[in-house]
Amino acid sequence: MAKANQFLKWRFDVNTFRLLGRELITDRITAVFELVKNCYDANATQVNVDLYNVTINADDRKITISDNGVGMSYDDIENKWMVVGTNSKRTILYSEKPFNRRFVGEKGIGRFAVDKLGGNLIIKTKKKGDKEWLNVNINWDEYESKSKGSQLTLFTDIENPVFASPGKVDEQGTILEISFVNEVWTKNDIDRLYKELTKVVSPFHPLNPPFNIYVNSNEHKEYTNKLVKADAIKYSSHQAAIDFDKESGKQEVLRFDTKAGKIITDKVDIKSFGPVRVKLYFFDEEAKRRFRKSYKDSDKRIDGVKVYRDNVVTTPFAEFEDDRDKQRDVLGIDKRLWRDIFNKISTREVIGVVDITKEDNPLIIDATNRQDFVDNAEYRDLKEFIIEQLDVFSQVKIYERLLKRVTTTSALQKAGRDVKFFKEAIESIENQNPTLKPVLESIKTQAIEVSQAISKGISEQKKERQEFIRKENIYFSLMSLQDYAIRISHAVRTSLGKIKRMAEFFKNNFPNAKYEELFKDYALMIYDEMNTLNKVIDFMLSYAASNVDFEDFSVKKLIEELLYSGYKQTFQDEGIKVTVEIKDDFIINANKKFFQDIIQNLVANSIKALSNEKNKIIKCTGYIEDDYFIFIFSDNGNGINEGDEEKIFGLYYTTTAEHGGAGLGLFIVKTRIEALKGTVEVKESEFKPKGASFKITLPFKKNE
Amino acid sequence: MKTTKIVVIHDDILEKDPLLVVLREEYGADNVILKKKSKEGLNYVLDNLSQKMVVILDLNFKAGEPSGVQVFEGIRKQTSLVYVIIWTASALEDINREDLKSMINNDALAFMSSTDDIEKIVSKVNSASHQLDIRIDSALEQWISLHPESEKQSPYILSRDGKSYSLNEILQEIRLKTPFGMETEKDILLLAIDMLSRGKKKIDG
Repeated sequence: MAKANQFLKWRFDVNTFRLLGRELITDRITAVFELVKNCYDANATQVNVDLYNVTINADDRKITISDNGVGMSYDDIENKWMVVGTNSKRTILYSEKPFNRRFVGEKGIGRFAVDKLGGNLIIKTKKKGDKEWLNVNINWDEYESKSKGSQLTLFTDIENPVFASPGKVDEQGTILEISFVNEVWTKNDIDRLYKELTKVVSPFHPLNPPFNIYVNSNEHKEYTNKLVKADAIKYSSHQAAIDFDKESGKQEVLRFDTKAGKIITDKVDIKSFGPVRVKLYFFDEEAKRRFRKSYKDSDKRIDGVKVYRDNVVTTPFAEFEDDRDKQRDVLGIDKRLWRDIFNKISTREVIGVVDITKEDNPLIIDATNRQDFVDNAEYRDLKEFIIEQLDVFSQVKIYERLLKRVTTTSALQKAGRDVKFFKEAIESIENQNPTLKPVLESIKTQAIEVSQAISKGISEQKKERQEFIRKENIYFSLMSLQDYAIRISHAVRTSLGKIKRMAEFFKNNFPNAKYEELFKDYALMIYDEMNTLNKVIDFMLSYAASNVDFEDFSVKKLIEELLYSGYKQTFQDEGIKVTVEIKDDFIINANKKFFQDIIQNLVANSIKALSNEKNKIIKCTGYIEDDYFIFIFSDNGNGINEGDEEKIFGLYYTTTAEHGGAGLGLFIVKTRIEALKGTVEVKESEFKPKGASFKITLPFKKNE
Repeated sequence: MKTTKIVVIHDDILEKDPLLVVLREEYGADNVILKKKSKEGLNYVLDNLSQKMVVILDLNFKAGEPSGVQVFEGIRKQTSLVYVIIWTASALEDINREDLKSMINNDALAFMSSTDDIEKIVSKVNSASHQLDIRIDSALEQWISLHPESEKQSPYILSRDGKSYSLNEILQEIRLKTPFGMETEKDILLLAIDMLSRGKKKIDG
């Protein structure tokens, strides 16, 4: 028990860990959230978050977080709170009955959340049965000032005063009183905090025993002990829910019935991860607009799928992140967007709740050291399952867009026909009754005008379709550009690192005779590395230089032109025999330069592979299969080693270094093809046992 | 000559990379090991836990190979005695936050950029190696090395459960952090403190 004038000392270097804490808890909303999670872990049934004078620039700004949880003993504070323990060391995952709560707080980091909020902290805590409240006063800034002082101080030497205050035996809980609050909290900040706190407990299944959070602000009337409660999910355009039946061992799954044009449920066997309940709310553009209108703040409330275990959020652990691109997407929903961005459902269009339980889903295991689940086969199945359910909504999306387009187009065409018919009818009346001609003339003129307007409407609509496709294309090429920017900056830094180390070695050791051989090697390597860098930069610049304009061109014509005329001289010089057999023609709307790059790099790659071959052949075949243009490019060179089929497309991967290969060519081929939404793979060589064949598949849209 | 092994796990540097050349000068050619496949690197570390080791670890490996973070976690599952220096071409802000947390929680010694000076990296390695040298197991190793080979192999102490350990085995147990190893380590520390409290002279003597 605490006695008067006692002190507690930290058991680690606070300054170091404060820095880390600041790095990881970058936002004060996350900070409060972390502290609330700790209250949850302490089996509290009630938490009060009290913000006092935080909106104005007052000196007495204060944030108090109090709970009625189990509280801490002197020993707890001395041996747990003042010691850094990472949460990976936690061995018990659930709190005691009747709470059975899965621990969600990050102990190692949560503590420093307080530091993010304000400069001074008083912890008041009491366990049931203790006679007095225990108080510890922590002044973070003292560490700062000590560390700046000239005298070397051990941070563990700093004393935090401890004192006792009277209490009743059956009281329990912990109160964190944070003063010298660092930042001003606007009403908007408090709204965001409130919204974030609504995610802790499942919106459909309240906890028992409860976990009620109240937000209180003396400056905003609506936050007078306001209970944190999730809003009902309104305005969604489509929704679906699936359940399960343990008796029969069946799990419901969603399916889109194309004929009926609606979502239905099927029953399948319960999956590897156990039975789950899922509720999904999808918002189409119209629904999003309605949603935004009623919740003025933004569409950030539509924030993807969350998994609740025994009704408490598990993943993503509602970590506040304002920047949508940085939000954690543990279920991998947005990672799939690349392939088909305009149809796939993103986390911005859906609110979903997946309910699992400790009892029914034991193979979905909580990871102890991070905020996710253990990556096992069952968890992967669960992720895939969730994505499959979401994909049903993307079918809805495609269906409805098609429906809308078909309706508009056919309505316009029908109107066109009607007007034509009308005009013909007038003409026939005119012929039968020439005296009516002057009267009918103006009606005829109007009909012609309407007819012209409709034709214009139809062509406008076509143009809009094309514009949509064009935008889609640009979007894609930008997406892939972002991807190479990351990969290339990594590669450039690797190259620069090598060059720099060699240069540093020269600087420190030249002309030490001992290293003469190395100096020669390094000089060559620096030269080669510089050449590679130069190529990488040219490639990057090709993006800047090539206009993003897309044009229609014939693939057959382009390939024939390039292989028969463009490289004629090269093939002659190298003694390569070229065969081009493009069966079907195919007009593509794409960046011509990209396409030329693909052919150019495939040719260059083949030339290197053929260097030791006597009878050199390059063969190129093209044909249409289903909705794809297939294009096979082969040579009879030295081929690709088994197991390297994937690697060869990686940046800087080369097997032809001796012929000046820098590992760029096939990387360019792959990325350019991806920018055209196609795929490239190595298939069995047409010139087996020698040679290599690349199969390129490009999608085309017959109806567009 | 230093006895620390420096294990470089990186798929994109050559045996004659200047960093390796400089490290070999400092630590001896046999003590600097380059592993280009992350899986092999991890296996090497795990197979040689009885050695003093500093690992320089890249984060990005080709598809199919364990990532640097996985290698790191693999090492930490077995031991916390190996120092790991992360050496990457990725900018700190490009590293996945969860990975970063995992590395911090797992006690990464330092983050180095692939464009950092050799000197800076070597000095980190040196300080890690120094840390290793002043640890109990290293002091013990040094002391054991003063004994003849036969004595190193023969039973030296008897544990509470009746098993006997040679000097070499004691060292091994401490490095592998077995219950016996940790117990012995604590005993040695207590003994050292006890001796210190009885007066410095006795230690010198």
